[in-house]
Amino acid sequence: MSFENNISALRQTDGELAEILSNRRGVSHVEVVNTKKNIPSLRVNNISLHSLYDPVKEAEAWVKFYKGDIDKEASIYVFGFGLGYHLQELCRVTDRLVTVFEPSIDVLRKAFETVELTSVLSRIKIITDCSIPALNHRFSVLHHKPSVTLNREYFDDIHAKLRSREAIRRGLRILVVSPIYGGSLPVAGYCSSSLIKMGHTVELIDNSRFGDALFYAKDISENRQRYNSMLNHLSSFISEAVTARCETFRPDLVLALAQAPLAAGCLDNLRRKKVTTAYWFVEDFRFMEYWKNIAGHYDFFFTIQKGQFFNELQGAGIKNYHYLPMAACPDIHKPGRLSEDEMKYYGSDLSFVGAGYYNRRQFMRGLLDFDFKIWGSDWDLHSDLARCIQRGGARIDTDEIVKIFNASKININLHSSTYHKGINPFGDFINPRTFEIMACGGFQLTDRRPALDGLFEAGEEIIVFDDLGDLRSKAAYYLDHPEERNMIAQRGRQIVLREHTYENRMKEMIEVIAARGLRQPLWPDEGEEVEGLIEEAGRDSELGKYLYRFPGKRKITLSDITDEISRTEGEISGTEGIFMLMNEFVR
Amino acid sequence: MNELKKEIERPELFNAIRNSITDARFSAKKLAEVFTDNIQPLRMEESENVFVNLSQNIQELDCFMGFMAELREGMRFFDGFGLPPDPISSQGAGMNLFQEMNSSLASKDWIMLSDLIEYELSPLLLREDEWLGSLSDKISEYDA
Repeated sequence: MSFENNISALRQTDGELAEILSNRRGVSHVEVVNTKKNIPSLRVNNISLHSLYDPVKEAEAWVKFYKGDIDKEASIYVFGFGLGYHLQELCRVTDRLVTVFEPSIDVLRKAFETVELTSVLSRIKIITDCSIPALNHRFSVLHHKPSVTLNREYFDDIHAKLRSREAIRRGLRILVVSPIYGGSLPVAGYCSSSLIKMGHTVELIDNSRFGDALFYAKDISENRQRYNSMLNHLSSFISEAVTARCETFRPDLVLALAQAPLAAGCLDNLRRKKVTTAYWFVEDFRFMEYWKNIAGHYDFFFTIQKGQFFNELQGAGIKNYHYLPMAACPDIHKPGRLSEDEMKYYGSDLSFVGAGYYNRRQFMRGLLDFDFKIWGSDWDLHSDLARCIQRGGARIDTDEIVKIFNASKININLHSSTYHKGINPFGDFINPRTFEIMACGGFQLTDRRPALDGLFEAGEEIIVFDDLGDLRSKAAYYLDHPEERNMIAQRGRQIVLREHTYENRMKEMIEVIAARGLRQPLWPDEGEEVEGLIEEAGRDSELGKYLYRFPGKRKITLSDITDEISRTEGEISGTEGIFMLMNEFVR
Repeated sequence: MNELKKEIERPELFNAIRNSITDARFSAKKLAEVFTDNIQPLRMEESENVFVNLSQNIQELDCFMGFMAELREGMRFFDGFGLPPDPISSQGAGMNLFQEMNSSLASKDWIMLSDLIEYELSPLLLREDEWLGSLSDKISEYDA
């Protein structure tokens, strides 16, 4: 009878688990035994989960033992279900949210068969796998010791993940390392600003400052060996600088963007210090094979391709890889009002922004009869495309690119290929331009790629073409239907803002890292207790009130305070000014 | 045998025996108390401290049992003063309990061990204390 009642109660909150428990058959290693009090207890593999004399008294003592933790935090996590005596007692003394982790379906089944639990099942959430709910509050963990002893590995894993979640909720210290140059350089900035918006303390190591040195090395000698040697020295120098900065900044996570020049030794050193490292490889693995040398040195490896790349990563023994497509940065890639002159200068019926790769040079020749502008470098200025190429094939900066996306009636997007004549039929990633045009509210015609399917609804949010003929007819159609064009562009912008911003990507990245467990770095424990400082300054004093803005932090350092001041907009207060001055003295 | 009995009956020896019984009563009560104090941590934690304390308590229990064995031996000369067997040795109660405790220790069944300590060992030690009190009274009567 208990079982039916319990299952029926569970079905109200967790139908899936109710189904699993209903279908479970009993097993011999989970044994219900009678106690001296004539109520049931449980033994698993000959280990008692509850007192064999008085399990209710034991449960009362358990709650009493944890009383402080129960009253302290908003959420309570209990490790171990047993027959639920401790949960019944817990729910009697608190109305807080209770989540119970129990990996043994057999134990749960037995508990449901044996004890009437309906009064608590509406109050608790049961988790049987390794998934951790999002944390919005501080929490307490209460151990049902015999259950924990029986499943030590599982509970150690859950504990580590909860610690990660808690660290993330409080805000991580993240060091973002950019490349020296290239397409992923601005992406490092977008990631950095998104992470700050998410509440993390972020420092961006902008390696573009070494651009001159890199190009100097490139130009100074034709000897490839010498160039590689100089490159290695530069990489060692930057790695040393990153290591030095880590010692001061004490990050929880180091995120490197594609081509960030971090040497293996630096990464191994961070691993020894238990700093979690992640790499976002925003490159085509078929052309940039350097991933083979670096992927294994990072704890997490994020890619813009899956399928074949995942097979290659598996083959190379890499485990923690995860698909993370490109995105847009709505603070940069946004609709904007253009003057009449700007519209005239940047606008056209058709435009293309990007470098003149082989396939593009071939393909774009089929569009010469349109009002067509090509922006970007590496185009053949002596070909018949020359009349479309703007500013003599100069590189275009981001501000102008945004204006072009805004001003063009149709933005063409053709993913690059060095040997196909048009569309690369094997292309399996989406370039940033796809997202950026949409975030600007621009209308886009892009080459068909299977990877688009999971991201956008073709025909509704984006229009794809299969070959030149298809592009020409669709371009003509949409030039004649501006309202339809505008509707699609608006829907495209909405989906990008909702799902495809760098903030979305960083949330996903942090989620992946949290789910697998963020390590606790071995940085020295510095800082002062916030509560103690507030107490010392006086709760109503100016300084005390100021320090209330760090409620999530247990300890703070002077650099935490000055970081916060630097992030805050507006005029600096007197207190803030003193902190900044103190920081200058320290520096 | 008679020589030995005479030796035992010397007043200073009687005093020594009475004193050691007083000590043993204190030990029995103290042991019941410290075992009880450790039950909750044993049920709740798996810390080194809990096991260090447990092992220390078991060593002290062993000493107490050693004393009780000597006492039982000595009491044979007085036909046990007409007292029933002490609770620990009665019907092998102590032996059975220690075997069960050993087996729960070996299988790391800490809940079972806690139960045995809380519901069996501690009350048994307190009953042993009462029995020692009766013995002390009997010795005083005999001495008088």
